Amino acid sequence: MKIKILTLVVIFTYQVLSFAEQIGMVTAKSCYGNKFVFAQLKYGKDDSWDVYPDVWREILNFLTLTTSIKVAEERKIVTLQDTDLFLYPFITIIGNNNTLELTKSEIGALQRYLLAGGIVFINDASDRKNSSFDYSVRKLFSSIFPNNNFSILPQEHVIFRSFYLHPKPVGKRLINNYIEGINISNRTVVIYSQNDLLGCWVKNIRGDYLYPCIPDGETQRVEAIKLTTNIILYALTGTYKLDVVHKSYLEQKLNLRRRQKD
Amino acid sequence: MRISKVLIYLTRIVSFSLFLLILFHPTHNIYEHISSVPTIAVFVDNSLSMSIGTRYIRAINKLKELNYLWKSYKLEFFNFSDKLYPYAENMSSPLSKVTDFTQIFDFLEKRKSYNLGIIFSDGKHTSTNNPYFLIEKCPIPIHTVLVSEGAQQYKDVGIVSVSAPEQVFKNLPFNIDIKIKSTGFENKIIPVMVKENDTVITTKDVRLEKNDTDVQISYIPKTLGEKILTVSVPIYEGEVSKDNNTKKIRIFVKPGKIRVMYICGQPGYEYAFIRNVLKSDPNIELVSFVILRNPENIAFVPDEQLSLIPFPVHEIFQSELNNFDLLIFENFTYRRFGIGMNYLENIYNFVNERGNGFIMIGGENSFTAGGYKGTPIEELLPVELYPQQMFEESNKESYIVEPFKLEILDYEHPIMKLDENVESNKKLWDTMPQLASYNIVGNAKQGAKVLAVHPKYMLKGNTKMPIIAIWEKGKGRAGIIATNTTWRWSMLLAAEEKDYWVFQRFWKQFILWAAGCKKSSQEMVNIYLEKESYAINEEIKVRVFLYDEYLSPLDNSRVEAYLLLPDGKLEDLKSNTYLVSPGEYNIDITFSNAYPLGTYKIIVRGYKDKKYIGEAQKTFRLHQIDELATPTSDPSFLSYISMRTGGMYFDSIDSFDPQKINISKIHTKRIKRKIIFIDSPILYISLVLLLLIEWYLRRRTGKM
Repeated sequence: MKIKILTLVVIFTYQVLSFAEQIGMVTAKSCYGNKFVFAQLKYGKDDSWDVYPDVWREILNFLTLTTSIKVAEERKIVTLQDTDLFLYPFITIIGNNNTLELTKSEIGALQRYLLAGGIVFINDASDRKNSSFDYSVRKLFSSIFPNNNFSILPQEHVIFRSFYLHPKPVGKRLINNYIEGINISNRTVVIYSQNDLLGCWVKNIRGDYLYPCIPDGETQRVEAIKLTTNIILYALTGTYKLDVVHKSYLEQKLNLRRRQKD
Repeated sequence: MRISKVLIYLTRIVSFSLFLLILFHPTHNIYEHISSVPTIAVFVDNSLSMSIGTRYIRAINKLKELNYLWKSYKLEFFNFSDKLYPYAENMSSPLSKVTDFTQIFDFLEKRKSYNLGIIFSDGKHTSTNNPYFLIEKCPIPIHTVLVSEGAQQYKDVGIVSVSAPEQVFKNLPFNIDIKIKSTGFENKIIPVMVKENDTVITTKDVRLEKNDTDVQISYIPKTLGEKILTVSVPIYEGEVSKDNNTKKIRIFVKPGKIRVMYICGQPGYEYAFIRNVLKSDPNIELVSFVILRNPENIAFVPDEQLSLIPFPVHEIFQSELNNFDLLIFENFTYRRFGIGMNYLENIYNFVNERGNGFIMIGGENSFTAGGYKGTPIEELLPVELYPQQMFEESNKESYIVEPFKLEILDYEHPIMKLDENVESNKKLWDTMPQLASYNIVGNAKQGAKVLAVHPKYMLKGNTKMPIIAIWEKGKGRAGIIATNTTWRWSMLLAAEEKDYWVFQRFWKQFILWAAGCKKSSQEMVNIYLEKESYAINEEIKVRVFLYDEYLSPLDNSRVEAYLLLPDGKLEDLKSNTYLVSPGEYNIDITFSNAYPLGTYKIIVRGYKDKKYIGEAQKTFRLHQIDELATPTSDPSFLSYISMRTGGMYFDSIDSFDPQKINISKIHTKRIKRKIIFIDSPILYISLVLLLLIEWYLRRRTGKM
């Protein structure tokens, strides 16, 4: 009898909660409307996924200061088992000398996420060309998109003009003089930097940049900050800056820059 | 002994020679030389065009001068038009509506008894039979004599041809190329008029050149479907033909690209996702502007390092606005960019008077928060707006960020129909993920249709607040969606492993509706015919287009085509129909003389897989070839004939002098007697004798 009553109570509670959630009375999840949320993927068994725990703050402050993007002033940490992942169409994955290894269901979730409109930015902070993280990233995405490998994003890619014109593809280091991406249906769904782009943003407690940028110092940092901004703008505006209406105007600007350099 | 050996060899050689003679039947011809009078075939055009002015009379008079030639030549006279027959003075008045030169060359090819041909004609070959191949094979030289008038002898203005692209697109200009041929009206300025049905759409004054005048008229179709354009020039007194002053052409207006202008006040996922939908549709041309930086934002680097462009207010809201079908505002306030009321008036007129579309998407700078209360934009919206003051006094926001489940009021509206099956569609909407923000808007205006509401937010009159509402405003359409978080549908449906393409489907349907594109089975099957009237033997190319509900070419389609004849008989056009590309078919028809003149109807039924999707019908007229459509003569064709056959070309009847024809007597060899050796029995006897002699000699000499 007791079991019967308990079962009925459980079922009733479940239905009430489901109904409440359906009509919006209960919301266990944060709601940010159309704001940009800095979402970061938690993966692996330790904390090695969180290479730069406070970098989001610097980036969001910069975006608020310099662009019209409305941001949610917090970082969301998501996992691939959690459907919350899909509330944030732009996620960042940072790795150092760890590995990005996912289960079959996690791979399925990531694939659905990317195909439905999500974008992933991967930052390799290992400062090495063939790091274990790099190896695991390439292996992972070759299994997610066997027919679409990483390719170098050319200078004509909209990422190089979505807010700043032609930032250099640098980071804290200059491991590669390019960034890479995976293109699916005219969208670059994965953007990958091995130059530790996010390392350029990290500050110490006094507000000074923590890591030097090698080899070009602060000039290199400016370029990395510009490129980071462009990547986020790409997630929010797509190929907007490739529209014909921008073409002649941007060409004029580029010509002006070339003349100034000459 | 030696003599007998020589004899054996001799008999063998001679018998072998005789054997060869018997085998190859050698003959010997004995010739005699004879001379004969050359025969000239004279062809006189007696088609209807020869009745213009004095063409035919002058040609007949010239024939009389040919009597001079009787002394030296044998002459045979023929008339030709649609048929070729021996000339008879009392039966040869020009009546036939067709001139077919191929009959001359066909005749000469078959009857090889002529030495020279002479053609009197105006050079107008109006038959659909191709003469050029036969001209090349002509066995004798042909002299051609152009029979035409001087410029003063007749007057005419005629439209020779009207051409336009086979398919044109709504709201995109295309050119109509018109060729006018005129005689006797040089330098006259005449109006060339183009009508769509009975409405004059444009008139252009044109100065007529000496012969051909080319005219180009630009036209922008405003509605979809088939249009019959009539191009005409005035009829002037004294013109030989009044039938050629008008020509009709069919055009087929496709939806083409829907031109969308999308203004977004902030970068955000809603813009990125909707943009992706619009850019992935080849039928949509998107021009968008996103405000990437506000005046309060600081510039981190010099301006030349920014890829920002000035917001082209005047171009968007004044000079270019009417080139678009749809304007979308998302989270955009006009107040920050010096956009005056006159520009908002333009948007109002863009919809209300010019029949275009407008959609306002929510956001913290939309609706009341965007300052649109009391502006012409508010008049466009299907919902009331509350004043900003109301929100300020009650210390409430007009844009709320909180999750809510959309409540659908009309599942069957074309915008909301995500699945053709009613139950499946309802289920799709009922399980749609929550949205995450909404703008507070007022009640729907009279005449507006609310498609979806907020489930909890109640307005005055105890009605639920509209989230998706639409209406027909003046000649155009306007709609609102009071949220900018529909991108969540795509992402969260994917999270649930459901069909996330419904997001794309919803927005495509919303945009198609707002841009004025109708979904109906009538438009899914379309027939295109270039003209409304065709001549016998003229090739008719019927083009059939099948579209899906999003007006894209229909894959996996099939058509059935039939021809309804004037006498009520129905012909299956299966063997004439072939697939060109997905959703596009051609039907080729050519009517021989066996078909009755009159009105025909083509009936096409379209199928997607096995499902019937619609039918389209098109009528056209079958007529005789119009001999007088272009009354001017065609000297180039006559000149071509004489050049290719080795004859002479005379550019006027007066320049033709029969005395110039000088063909010497034809000398021919004729076989008088033929000696055939094989017929002589002596050969056979000799062969037998020789073989016997050889046998005898060999026996005597012992050489067996």
